Amino acid sequence: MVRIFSQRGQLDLPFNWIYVLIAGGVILLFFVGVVVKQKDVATQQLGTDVNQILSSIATAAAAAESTKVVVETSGLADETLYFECRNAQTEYGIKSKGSPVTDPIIPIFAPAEINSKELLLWSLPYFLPYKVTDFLYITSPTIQYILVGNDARVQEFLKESKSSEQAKFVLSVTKTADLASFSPQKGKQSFRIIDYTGLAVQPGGIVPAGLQKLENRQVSAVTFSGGAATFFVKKGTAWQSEGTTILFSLGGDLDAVHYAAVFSDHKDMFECGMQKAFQRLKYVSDVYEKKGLALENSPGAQDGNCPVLFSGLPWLLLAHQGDSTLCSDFYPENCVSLVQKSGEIRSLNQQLFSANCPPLY
Amino acid sequence: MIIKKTKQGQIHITETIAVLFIFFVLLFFGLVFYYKYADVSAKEQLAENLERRAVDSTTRFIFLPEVQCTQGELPPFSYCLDLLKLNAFKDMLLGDALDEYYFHLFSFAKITIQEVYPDPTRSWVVYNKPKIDYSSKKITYFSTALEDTSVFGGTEPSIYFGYVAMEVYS
Repeated sequence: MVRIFSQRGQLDLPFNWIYVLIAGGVILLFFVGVVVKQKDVATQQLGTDVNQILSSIATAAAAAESTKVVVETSGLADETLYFECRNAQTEYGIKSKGSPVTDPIIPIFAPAEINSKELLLWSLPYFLPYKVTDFLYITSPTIQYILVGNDARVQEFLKESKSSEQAKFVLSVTKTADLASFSPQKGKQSFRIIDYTGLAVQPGGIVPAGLQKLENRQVSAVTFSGGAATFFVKKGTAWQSEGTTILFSLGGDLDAVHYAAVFSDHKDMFECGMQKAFQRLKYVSDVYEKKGLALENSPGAQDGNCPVLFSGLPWLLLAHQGDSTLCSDFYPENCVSLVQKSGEIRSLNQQLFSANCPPLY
Repeated sequence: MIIKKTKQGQIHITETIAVLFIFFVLLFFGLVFYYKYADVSAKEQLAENLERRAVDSTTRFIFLPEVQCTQGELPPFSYCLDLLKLNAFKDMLLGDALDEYYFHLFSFAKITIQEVYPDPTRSWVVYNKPKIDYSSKKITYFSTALEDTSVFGGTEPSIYFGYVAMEVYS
């Protein structure tokens, strides 16, 4: 037998193997690339989808008055939702995933971070004296609210912590007479003390023993005293004040501003949300100022005592509109007269109702 | 050294070229299919987003304190627009308010209020910010009551019927 070792034959065998290796490697790389890319896209997509859903829920919750909504986020139990508010713009989303949502309109009051299987959304209307906007509060069952004092607002908050329509809407609210001996509930991630006495939490005061071992970011407090709220953060074992801010509100039941201070764990979040509300007030007041003028000249406003009542309304509305613009541009320094003027407009509106004249609102 | 072209070797080269050709054809079809799928999927997503925006914008408008009917200290009437406020709001949006603030609420859209009864000739274009080079648009309609507070207490009816036409662009 004659064996002929041809050059072609010698080249063929290694060439095939090299070809198989290169082609196989390219195919493998291609599919690995596709899988990695898809995984990345899916994660980003999930973040974006959740942000979009949150945005839609926020719109719906803020539009429908006094709603309590539970949002299941069990798919995101391992993720952290964050909320920031700067220069009257709220940014929220999943930390390091997807594009965050930026909202310059809805005043959102929420903790800096939420890590939970459920989100609790509550909206309340803000009146000054007419409806300005709806405040949206975002929290979770993993946050425990500790109420100190015997204020009427304590009873109201305890009552509102559960919803009659939404069985799953349950805020973790505890009333305590002795904050020093308070022991935290197991499974809670953060704790917020709401002090209505103005005495239980003081700058430089000692944090309750049961909360001292927790991280600083897990514990915060707010005290209410004389129409103002003071925000506190935990620094080691002591309380540190973030400052006091005036609550520009007409008071009454379900006071939106009071709950805004309750659900914002930092003064910045509260003030930024209020700034958004005053921006809106500027435009709403403009509308009411024009409506006041139109009403004054309307047929319904010419009967009985109506002309007398209407004579002072345009000036009052114009002044309130001016104050709203000032407050919106220079919050909180130039907002003091807003509440007083709102009270006057409310009183005049009640007189219009009583005299059977067309009311402003 | 003897170089001999064998049939075996020639077949191998042809096979290799054929395999390479099929591989690239399959790769090409795969890429075309993926591109088409991604394109269709992106278009569907855009359509869905536009639909969601139309519904969100309608909800926002219907509950806007600037146009909603009120009843003193009680919660405002739902699905009712105050015509005096609506006119004031419309006039306000002719100024800077639209671009400064309300664009964040409604983006590129046109909001028209059409009275159906008693006077179907009356309509108000409250917000008008069309997108010139839009790729698609979506219109949603929502029926609503219209209250004319200027005829308060008189013998004339003060509640009319109409709808909101929300046209959004992308």
